[in-house]
Amino acid sequence: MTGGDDVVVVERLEKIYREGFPRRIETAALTDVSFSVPRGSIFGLLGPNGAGKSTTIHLLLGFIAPTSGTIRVFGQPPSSPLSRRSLGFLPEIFAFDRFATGRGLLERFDALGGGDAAGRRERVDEALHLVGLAEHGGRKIGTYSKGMAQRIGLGQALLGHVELLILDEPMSGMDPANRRSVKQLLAARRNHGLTTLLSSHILSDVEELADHVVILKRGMIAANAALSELRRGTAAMRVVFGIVEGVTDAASAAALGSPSAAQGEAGFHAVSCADDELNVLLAKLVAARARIVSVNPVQGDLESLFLELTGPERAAEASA
Amino acid sequence: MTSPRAVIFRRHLARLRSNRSVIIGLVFGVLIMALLIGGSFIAATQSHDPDRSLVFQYMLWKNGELFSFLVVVFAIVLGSSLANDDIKSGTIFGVLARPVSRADYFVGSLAGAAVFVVVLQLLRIVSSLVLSIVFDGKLTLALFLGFVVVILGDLLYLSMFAAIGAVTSNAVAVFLGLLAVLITGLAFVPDFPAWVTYPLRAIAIFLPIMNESADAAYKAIVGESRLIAPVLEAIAYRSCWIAVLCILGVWGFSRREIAPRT
Repeated sequence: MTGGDDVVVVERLEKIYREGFPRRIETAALTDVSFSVPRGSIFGLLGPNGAGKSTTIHLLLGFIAPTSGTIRVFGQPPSSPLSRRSLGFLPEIFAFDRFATGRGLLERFDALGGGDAAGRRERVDEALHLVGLAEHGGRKIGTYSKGMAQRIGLGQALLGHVELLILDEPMSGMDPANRRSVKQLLAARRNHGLTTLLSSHILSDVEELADHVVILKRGMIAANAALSELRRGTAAMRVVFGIVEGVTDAASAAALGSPSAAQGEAGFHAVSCADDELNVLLAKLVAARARIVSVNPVQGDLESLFLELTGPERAAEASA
Repeated sequence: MTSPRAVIFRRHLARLRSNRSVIIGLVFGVLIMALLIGGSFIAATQSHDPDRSLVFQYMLWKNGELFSFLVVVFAIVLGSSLANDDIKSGTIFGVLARPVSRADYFVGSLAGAAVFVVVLQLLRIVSSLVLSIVFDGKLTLALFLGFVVVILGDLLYLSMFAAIGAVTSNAVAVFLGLLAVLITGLAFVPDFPAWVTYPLRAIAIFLPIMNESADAAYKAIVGESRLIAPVLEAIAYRSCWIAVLCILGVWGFSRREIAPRT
């Protein structure tokens, strides 16, 4: 998925951390990671802890350098300040100059972003209003609550003419009302052409917002597709059936032996299978004289897919 | 449009102004300076020397080692923590996520820290000038150039520690910097045997804080020498080293890998 209108292009990215002296210990944080972020999309970057999400973001921002591979942000390498000219970033823990007021901080960031002094007040007012801090702009940031601090962080990220927003766990310290308003804000901004790269552990948020997701596992890409495609791939059929009394043949036993089969209320059984396995399953149940109660398509959710892709490794880690 | 370097400069000034340790250091410096000026003034007024201005300058500059030490400590602390404090607190990442180069960040912050170091040294220079006039002293070119050398010396310490702090942690920068100061100091102690001083001098050649340039400045300030050439040489020597250290600091900081806490 590499096109001419991609805001971020990452190709065969590798990052190895080297630590220790005199014996260097090497840890591969990313291996052969390639993806691109289309303009105007919300792009979810997912993975369990230590999968390489933050490393990827830090590489995109030029905080660290790749061991090999290429990164282009707006066609520029991250080491160039030009790559960050239309970029807003909110880190997981937004550390701020506590001595500054909310307005002072945004004014400074606007100046650093190259905004002209004439329109600065207007841009800062707009950003404060966007994140619901218009009333608190004159207060020192040191007096802000955690949620307010996170919102002023989002304000600085959205300041000015931002075309790419990189958010690392943006809603971690927010209450449900704030989370909802941030999600509404991101959705509205997407309609105005803003591209967002969203790294989050709150899968329901990503599922609600993202058009495309990359799932990282141990520094490698486990999935890279449009969210709709991933959902299709995990779609299943759910069959509910009853076993006619006195019949205990192989078909129902086979169905019940399936890991996804479960006995529900009133003696009914439910079993899920892939779309292309449905006919075989139904034939077995009919042959066994099971009573089919219902057959329904079940939409796969991101959480199930995420656990499916990252689960075995985590289970192995837990048992090790 | 304001340049990013100017914004970083103002930000670093604001950071230091809000730092309690820096303010305490400044207040402490003012107190020491007041005592030094008072003591030098009394010594000069009670002196039978016909040129009381020189007596005053001598007292203020040759005996003001505690103040010089304080300014150097100030420069060491501000230099080594130039980027490290910002990295430790995480505030640097919001700044570097903007279209700001590492060079802009380093030079802007260094300029902000330099203001504080120069202001502290200016306390002594201004009082030196004012009281020199009070005692009818001569304001010579060598005197002014001597002041320039002194300020450049402070900036040299600042840029040296900033360059080391650009690539290492605060603690390592202070350790390495103090080691350099110790080597340079011991290398020129006249009473030490040659087998100690000669190897140290061999190392000190590569360190920019040699004592000869300081001597040229003090001789010019206290009127022991009216020669301009050694003072100009000291200015050139220190300016070149400051430039080299700034370039090294920018180069090192541009290659440093930094990442926010997650």
